[in-house]
Amino acid sequence: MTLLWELLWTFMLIGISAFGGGYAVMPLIQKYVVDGPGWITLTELADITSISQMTPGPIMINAATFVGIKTAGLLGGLIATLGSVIPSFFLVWILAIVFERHGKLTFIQNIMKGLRPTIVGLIAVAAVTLFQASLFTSGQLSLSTVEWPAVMAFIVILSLSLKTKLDTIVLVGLGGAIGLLFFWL
Amino acid sequence: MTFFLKRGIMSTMKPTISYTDLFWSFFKINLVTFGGGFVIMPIIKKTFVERKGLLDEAEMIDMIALAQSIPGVMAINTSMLVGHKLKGVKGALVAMIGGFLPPLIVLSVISFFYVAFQTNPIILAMLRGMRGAVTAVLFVSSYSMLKSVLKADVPFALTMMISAFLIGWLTDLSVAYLMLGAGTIGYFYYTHLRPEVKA
Repeated sequence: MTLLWELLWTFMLIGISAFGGGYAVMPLIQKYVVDGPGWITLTELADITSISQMTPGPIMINAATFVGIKTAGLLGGLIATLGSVIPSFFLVWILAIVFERHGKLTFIQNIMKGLRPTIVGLIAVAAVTLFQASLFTSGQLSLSTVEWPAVMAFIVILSLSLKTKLDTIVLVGLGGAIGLLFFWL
Repeated sequence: MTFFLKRGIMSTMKPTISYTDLFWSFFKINLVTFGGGFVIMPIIKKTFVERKGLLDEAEMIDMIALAQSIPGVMAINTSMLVGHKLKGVKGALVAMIGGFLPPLIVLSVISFFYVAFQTNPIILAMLRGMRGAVTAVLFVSSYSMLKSVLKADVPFALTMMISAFLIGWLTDLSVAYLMLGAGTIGYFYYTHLRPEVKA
C-alpha cells in the first residue's frame, strides 16, 4: 500500500516538474526513480527509451507504466501513470477556463502570435526527425540504409491521406500491412 | 415534411460529439501514434479539424501552444484541452483516459517479454511500415498547419517559424525555454513595435 502511494507521489512530482515534454523528462525520471528509490536500473531506463521509440504513446506514460508494473504489478502501472497526468489535469482545467474567459485580451493574443509559428516550426522538426528515423536504418541518411518497406508505406499512405479522409488508425494499419507484405515477399 | 424540417435544424446546429466518441477518438490516436508530443498533436488535429470538423485549425494551434505552457505530458495536455473545449471538465477527463490507456495496455503486455519483442523480425517489419505511415500522416497534417499560420503577417510568422525550426533541429534547448522566448518576442513585437496590427 505504501509502495502504491510512493509511486503515485513520485510520478506526480515528475509530472509537475516536466516542462517541455518528450525526452526532457528522462533526467527527472533518472533522479526520482533510478537514483532515489532505485525502482529500476539505468540499463532498464535506457531500455524504456528504446521501447518507447517502437511503441505508441508519450515516453513519460511508457516510463510510468514500466516502472509501476515492475515495482507493484499492473495496479502499480495504472497508479504511476495516473500520477504523471493528475497534476496537469488540474492545471489544464484552470488554464482552459482562464483562456476561455480572457483569451481575447490583446496582450494574450500578442503572446499567442509569437507562439503559433514557433509551434509549427517545432512540429516541422518532429516531422523531419521522424522521417529520418523511420525511413532510414538508425537514422543514417544514405542509399544503403533506406528502409524500403517504410518508404513504400510512406508513399502509399501519403497519397491516401492527401486524397481521402480515412481514419489515422486505418492508415497506420495499412502501413503495418505493407511492412508485413515486404517481409513475406 | 418532418424529414426536411429535421434536416434544416440539423444543418444549422454546430457539430457535437458524444463522450464515447471522444474517448475512442483519443484511444485510436494513441494506439497507433509512435513518437512524442509533436507527432501526436498534429494527428489529434487531423481527427478533430479535418475529419470531424469540430474545431478549426487556428483553435487547434492555440491549444497546442497552451499545452506547452504547463508541465506534464504534452500530448495528454493537448488532449485534455480539446476534451475541455468540446465537453467541459468531464470531456477533459475522458480525453485523458482515452489518451493514456493505449500506451498503458501496450506497454503492460510488452514489459513482460520486451527482449523477444525488440528482436522479432515479423513485429519489426510491421512496425517499420507503421512508422512510415505515421510519418506520412504527420507530413500532411503539419503542412496544413503551416499554411494556416502563414495566413497573416507572413514576414514575422515565417521568421519565427524558421528560427524555431533551426533551434529545435540544431540544439537541445528545452521546448519550455523556446516557448518562453517566443511568447516574449510576440508580446514585445505586437505591443510595442507593431501595435497597429490587430489580433
